[in-house]
Amino acid sequence: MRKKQCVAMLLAGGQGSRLYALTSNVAKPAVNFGSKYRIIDFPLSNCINSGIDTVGVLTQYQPLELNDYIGNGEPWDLDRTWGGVHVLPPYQRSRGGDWYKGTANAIYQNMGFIDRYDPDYVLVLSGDHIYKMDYDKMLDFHKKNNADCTIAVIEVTLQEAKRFGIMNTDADNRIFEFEEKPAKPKSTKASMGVYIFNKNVLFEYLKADEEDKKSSKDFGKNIIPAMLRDGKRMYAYGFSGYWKDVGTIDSLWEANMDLLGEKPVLDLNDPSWKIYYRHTPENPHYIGEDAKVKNSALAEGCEIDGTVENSVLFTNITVEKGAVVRDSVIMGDCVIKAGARVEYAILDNGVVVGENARVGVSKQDASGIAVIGAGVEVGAKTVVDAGEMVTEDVK
Amino acid sequence: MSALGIIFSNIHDQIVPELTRGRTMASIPFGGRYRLIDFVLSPMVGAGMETIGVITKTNYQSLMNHVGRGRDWDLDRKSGGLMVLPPFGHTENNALYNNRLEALKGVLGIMRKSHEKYVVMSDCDIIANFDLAAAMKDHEESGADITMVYKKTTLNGESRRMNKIMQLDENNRVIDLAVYQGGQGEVNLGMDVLIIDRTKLISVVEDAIAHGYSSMSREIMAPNLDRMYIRGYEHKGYYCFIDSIESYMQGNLDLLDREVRKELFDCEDRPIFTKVKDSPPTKYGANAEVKNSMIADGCTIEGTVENSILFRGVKVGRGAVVRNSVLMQDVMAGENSELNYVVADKRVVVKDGRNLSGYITHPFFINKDSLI
Repeated sequence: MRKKQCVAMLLAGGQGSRLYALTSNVAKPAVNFGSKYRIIDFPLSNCINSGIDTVGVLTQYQPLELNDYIGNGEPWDLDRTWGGVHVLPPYQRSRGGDWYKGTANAIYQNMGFIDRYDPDYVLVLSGDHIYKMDYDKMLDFHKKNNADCTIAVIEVTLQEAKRFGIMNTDADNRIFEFEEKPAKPKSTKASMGVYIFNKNVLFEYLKADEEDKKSSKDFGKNIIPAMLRDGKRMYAYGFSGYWKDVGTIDSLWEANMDLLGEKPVLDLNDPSWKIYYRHTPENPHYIGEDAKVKNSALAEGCEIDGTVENSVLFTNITVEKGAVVRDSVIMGDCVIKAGARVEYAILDNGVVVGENARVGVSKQDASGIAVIGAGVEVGAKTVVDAGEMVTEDVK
Repeated sequence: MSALGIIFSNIHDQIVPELTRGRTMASIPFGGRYRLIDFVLSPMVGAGMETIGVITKTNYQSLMNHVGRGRDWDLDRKSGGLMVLPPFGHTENNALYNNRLEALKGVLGIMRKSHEKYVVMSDCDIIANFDLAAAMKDHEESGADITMVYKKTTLNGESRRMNKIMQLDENNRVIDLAVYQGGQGEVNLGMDVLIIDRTKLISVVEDAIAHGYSSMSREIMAPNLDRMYIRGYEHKGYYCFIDSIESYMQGNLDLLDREVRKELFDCEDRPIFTKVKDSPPTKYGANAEVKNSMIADGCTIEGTVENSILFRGVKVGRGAVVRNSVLMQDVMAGENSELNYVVADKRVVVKDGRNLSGYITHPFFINKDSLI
């Protein structure tokens, strides 16, 4: 039988409720990022760049836009006759059928998909992180250690460690203990939500977990602890590049800003590790006679006649004369009309900010990031305060 | 209404030798991210055409690379789709074709096999986004034998291409057709976009072979205007012919005009498609000073850019000043370099502190991969 060495399973069903307005109509992995991308472009591009050409994308919450976006996988070179990307929603079976009850259950329900490729290893990914990572190196590490499970970890500060799942390891990187959000962290190795399992071991634990009525069917809460209890060979793979969980408004804003600057923390202009995305046909952007654009990233189709500073602009943004956009993330098709000011804000797709309106206040005075939901119209001279979250037209 | 598209990718190659040194007319880069063929393919796709043959002769690697299987124009189809048609060896004479009629002779087989009612033919030297669907509808309703898309324009006598100057009666029937280089004053200028019945075209080509004709417009259309119903269809939007490095420069700089951008790119039902490259967003540094410029993805701008067109992946170093220039893909303008009225072909590197200047009437052209 033909086989694939490794199949990736990408957990993309989460709502991302801490992104509030930005995920009211789309799943978190479909949220826009970095002028041109969506969050899911990162794990998908990482897969293809790592030589993994078979990816199952597990969807559940608001899947329409995500399904459309993934399509046949062609933008990521994942349109294959054997393998490629497959969207895997929950489904009905002859005997019942159910929503995905947890991350582990989602994989459990798709063991049939995995078995079609008879892989030795299963890579489990999540769709809420921005990072560039070579999974193939991690797989080498996994094989070299003869491990049952390898978990990618990143060094955080002791303070930050309280917010993460922390791996306590011995000198050989073998994990002996896992603590979710420990009050007194013993290590600074935070789980990145990237796992490699030997397929047979994974299936064994998924089946056992499914039988356990009390289990919450979650990798972090159930599968990993159970494997640790049984003394399985579990290793922590240290990753040292850029990695960011963009699960909150603040972290999403920060990650966007990480693209800026001469030597950005997150460099996307990297021919050796391209991030692929689905295109829309747009003409190059135009910077007008009176425009001022500084320390910003812009995509195609923009028409800029105002001032743009320290900001990330997606496709087709109009910034009219006298308008100012500062320290902000402006997603696709937004219009910032003449004289309007947008500061320390995130605008979702299709927002119109009326003439002389104000959204947010200057970053140093702001109590928080102002967020405007998709398609909202902010009337002329209307003021949206710092930290406000607007989901309906305001006048 | 179905139509087969036939695009001549090499016609006019010799009139812009600088730009066609290693490529076809069709694959000349234009407007930050496009190639000339995009402005023919996209209107055809916009008009619902699904079978398009691109006739090539020489230097067609860059063209093949650009169009591939036509996926980016939604033309990768099991039946029809985009077909690149390299010269087909003729047994009777091994020479490559020298004119459109000979080129058409080489694709007679494809024309005979296809089932579309019409054929739309076009060259690749125009920048426009014409409404081909409307032109085809006009052609069908009028019952014309041939419809020629034209533009009302003013010529200054400097044009290097063979221009087709048409005179029309009040019903848009062509009553005079003259073909000559140059031309002056207000004219109806043929855009070399022709709509014709497929079976009619086949018989025209067969007839031309029999008679040894070499020019469709001069030997077939012009002398027979009383017997053939040749009709004009006016393109009202922006157009520009690329027939010299000066017009190439001007055509690019025209894009800095909002109205031109609107007429070219803001047609909802026919966007201009091109090959995608997954470039990252363009980044502006803290010292960037950019005015009145059109800038594609993947650029890094640390210096000053004014009245210019930057293609994908251009780098403008700190202190560099780029004015009135067209910098193609991956050009690097080093720190404190100065460029004025320069057309730099792909991957040109201008080292730090170098200073280059041309003039609007004489742009300074730099060959692909040059190091200055």
